[in-house]
Amino acid sequence: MNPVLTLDHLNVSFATNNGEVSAVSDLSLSITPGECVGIVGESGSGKSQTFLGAMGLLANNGTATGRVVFQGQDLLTLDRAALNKIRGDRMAMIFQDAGTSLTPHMRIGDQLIEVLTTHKGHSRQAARQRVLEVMESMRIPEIEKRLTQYPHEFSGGMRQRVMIAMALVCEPDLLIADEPTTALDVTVQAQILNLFRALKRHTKSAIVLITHDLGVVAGLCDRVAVMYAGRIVEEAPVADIFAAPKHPYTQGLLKCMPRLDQLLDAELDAIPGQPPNLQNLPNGCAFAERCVNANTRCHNERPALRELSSARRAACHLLEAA
Amino acid sequence: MSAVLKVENLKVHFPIKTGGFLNSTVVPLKAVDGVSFDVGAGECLGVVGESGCGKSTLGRAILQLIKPTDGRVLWLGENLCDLAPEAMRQKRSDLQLVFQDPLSSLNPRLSVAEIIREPLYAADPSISRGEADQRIDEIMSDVGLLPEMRNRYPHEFSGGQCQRIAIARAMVLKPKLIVCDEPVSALDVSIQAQVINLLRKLQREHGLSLIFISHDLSVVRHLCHRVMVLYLGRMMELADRDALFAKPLHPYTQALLSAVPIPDPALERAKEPLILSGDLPSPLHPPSGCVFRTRCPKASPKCIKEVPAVEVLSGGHQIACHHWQD
Repeated sequence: MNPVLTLDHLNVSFATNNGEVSAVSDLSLSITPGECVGIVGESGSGKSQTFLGAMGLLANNGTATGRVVFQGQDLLTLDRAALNKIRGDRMAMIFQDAGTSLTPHMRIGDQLIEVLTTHKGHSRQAARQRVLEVMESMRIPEIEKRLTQYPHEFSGGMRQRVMIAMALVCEPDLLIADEPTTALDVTVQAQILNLFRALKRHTKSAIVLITHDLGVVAGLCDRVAVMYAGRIVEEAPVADIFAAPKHPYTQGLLKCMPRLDQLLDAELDAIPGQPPNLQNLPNGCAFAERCVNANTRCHNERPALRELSSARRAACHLLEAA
Repeated sequence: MSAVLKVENLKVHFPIKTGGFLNSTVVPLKAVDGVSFDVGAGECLGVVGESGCGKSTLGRAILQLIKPTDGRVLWLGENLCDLAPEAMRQKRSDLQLVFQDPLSSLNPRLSVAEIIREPLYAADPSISRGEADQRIDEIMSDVGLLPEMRNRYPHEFSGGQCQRIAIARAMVLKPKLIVCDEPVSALDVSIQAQVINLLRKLQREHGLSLIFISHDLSVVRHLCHRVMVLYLGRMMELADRDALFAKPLHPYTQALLSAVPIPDPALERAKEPLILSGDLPSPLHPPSGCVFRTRCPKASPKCIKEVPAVEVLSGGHQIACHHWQD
């Protein structure tokens, strides 16, 4: 099956007063139709910038190089007008903070209808019909009344539902969700995750789920890519990454989390140190400084992301030796 | 275990103006509404709940940073709510606080040593420079900061390190109780584990009592001895950690626990989550009777009429629900 999105040696960097900051380096990843890929990493690992860069949504001082092939078209070569035709129609994004992603002075209904009249050329009447359908599948009560309200009249969970509805009205082939439940309370998060689960069953669209929460990944994703300091360090099917993580960072991440279903009456296995400064990344492996098994080679030479088996990749010298 | 802190029927109501210019009325927002519990010496009590449940207000009201509307906060038998400001100020060396956002809770214009020195001088203005410096060095190495970093400023540190500075500032007076308000929520997972380990170590080594306010149930399970669950300012359930996590009795606790995603694909996909309908009601107009009834799967007409009383079961398990036995 042809991938819906292929990132090919993508680099994202930002020009700052203190020099260039490289947020994403040499990242290659492809997403096939219908699958749900989880992108996991801590803040500053480049997980959001990867997809903002791919969609042409970087801040003004940011540049993306490489190739981003979406349904046969390289998005990085397109101008803004051409991108606007694709964004919101064939590919859509859901952001973490629904409060700031909605226009505050426009009624919710108008914001949703606008998507369809712009992209699909629907009449207002037809667009409204479709909006009602999608809102209903989002389990939003009193839809008619809700459509005439403004974003500030919605709770956080409801706003996130509207964001998801907005992303779905055009039936995109690719849906990118950037920390869609991070700002929500757990019981509301459970409601939204349930919607995602239903969504996965009922649509054919591929989903990219960017998150720092491994629990969310475990419940929803088919495949996981773990990022550290702007690079993918490990990529594997979801069952494998939890059962047998290969990269020391993935292993550390899984071990250092306290878990609700297990009682550990001892210290957590914390990863020592902290993520490297993106302004002067080390020459070798970015994780070497925090890795207990690192050797001189790790400090001097950057490990390439190599294939371990047909579905698994990891970037670690130690795996090569083993 | 003897209780060092006893909180009795604590209420914090904020007057909120509603309505228009001409017909405005003042409505009390009941942030904390009649909460009672105690904390033993060397005990870590977890306070969990969703945003708006009053957990932060509760922490501040205990330390008298917000004046409680009603109720008593007994610290070693003495009611803190009755103390004059100066008497309360002296008590503060026993009672400290760590906030959620490490960077904004540190003064950006003071160096680390000055930040940690402030409480020392506030408690004892006559302390000699040499002694203060020695205590600062001691506490810095205790929380895992190199004493060489003493002249650096907060912006030179990462979030995790800033939280260590905030913990050092709280610990330097050798307090008996620290209220930690979401101390690890702003940190990344790998850094979070370091700070949790530190709190756990300090708590054990110094016999500290901790009130650990958090929305993260996994962290609470790891760190706390007992756990209190709040919803809209009221206590729903309070129990020993093992009892609460093994067999939660309150429908809200049950939903809360089942809502947490488990980082294990097989378990996470097999579980049948108990999904609550709707959102948290507005605290300005809380539901009558049991505040949880609008989202509760077990709600009955009785829940609309009567506020459930707190029942104390064997093992000190406390629960406020009409239907926990159903």
